[in-house]
Amino acid sequence: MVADPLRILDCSPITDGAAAVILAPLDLAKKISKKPVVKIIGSGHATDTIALHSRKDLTEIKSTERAAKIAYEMASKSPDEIHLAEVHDCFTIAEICVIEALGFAEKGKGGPATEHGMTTLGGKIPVNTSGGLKSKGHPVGATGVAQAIEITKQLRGEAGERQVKNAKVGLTQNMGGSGGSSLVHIMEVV
Amino acid sequence: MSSPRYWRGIPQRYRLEAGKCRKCGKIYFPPRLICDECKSREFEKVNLPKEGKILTYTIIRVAPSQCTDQAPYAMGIVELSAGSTGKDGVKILSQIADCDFDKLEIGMPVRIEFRKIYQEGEAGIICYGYKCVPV
Repeated sequence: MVADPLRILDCSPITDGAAAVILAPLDLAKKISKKPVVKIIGSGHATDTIALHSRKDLTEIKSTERAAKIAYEMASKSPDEIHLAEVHDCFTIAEICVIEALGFAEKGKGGPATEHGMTTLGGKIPVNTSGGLKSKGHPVGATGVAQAIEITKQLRGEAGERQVKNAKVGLTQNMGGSGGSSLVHIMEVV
Repeated sequence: MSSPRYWRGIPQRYRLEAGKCRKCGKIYFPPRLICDECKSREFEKVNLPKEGKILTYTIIRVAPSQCTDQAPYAMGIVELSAGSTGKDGVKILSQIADCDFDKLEIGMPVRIEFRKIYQEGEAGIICYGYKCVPV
């Protein structure tokens, strides 16, 4: 037990790691890339208080909710048009709150939905096919870019055994300060 | 946390000094420069009441390095009573000391006491602050 009710496997291990992506204007990307090009179609950033005791509700991650709204609007997509997502599951409860904030599950239903397989490979919305922070490790500075890499691999159909079938639109959600700041990106293969 | 940084927080840590927005009345603990409700920059100093109730809590079993000698210990979010501030619901994060973990529950009344928080570094500088204890 680390802090009730979180046990050791509920907590992401802080690890070493590195990640990098190449960003380019779409025309140039199409010219130089030998692989399918993935385009960022939505991007949202929002903040909340860092102090947990200052938040109205501890079971909501408002910054993710606001960031997602901005990104969905920019991308003209709704949560049910997203084929897979990489989210910041620093602790078990974080993923549950995040999938609710992203609109994949109703408020208070993220836990049961996960138990019933909604977020597994082959589920309605596969979440963290990379393993996420808990299973892949959490190299704090590299975690967000690593999410973009996993989505890119999936959208290109290069994810091997963990490939999500017909994945065309993916989402990444990253946060810091226990949800004090959140970023949501939506990507599409072109 | 370095001692100078800790000491800058003494008004809050020792006396529970909070900032109350002169315009809309929202209370911030710790105090801040701009009200996130009405964007006012004018605050008055208020001392928070020393009683409240537990809103939520956990038992820390793997503690940060400065607190390992105290583990396991309870941490909670406590909602303070209105008292002289005239505002209900100011919340603070605090260790809940001198308690039986099995008897802790949400809604339990607590009072705030001046306590030793931890000893810092090799010099053993003692940092004081507030902790809650069940009434």
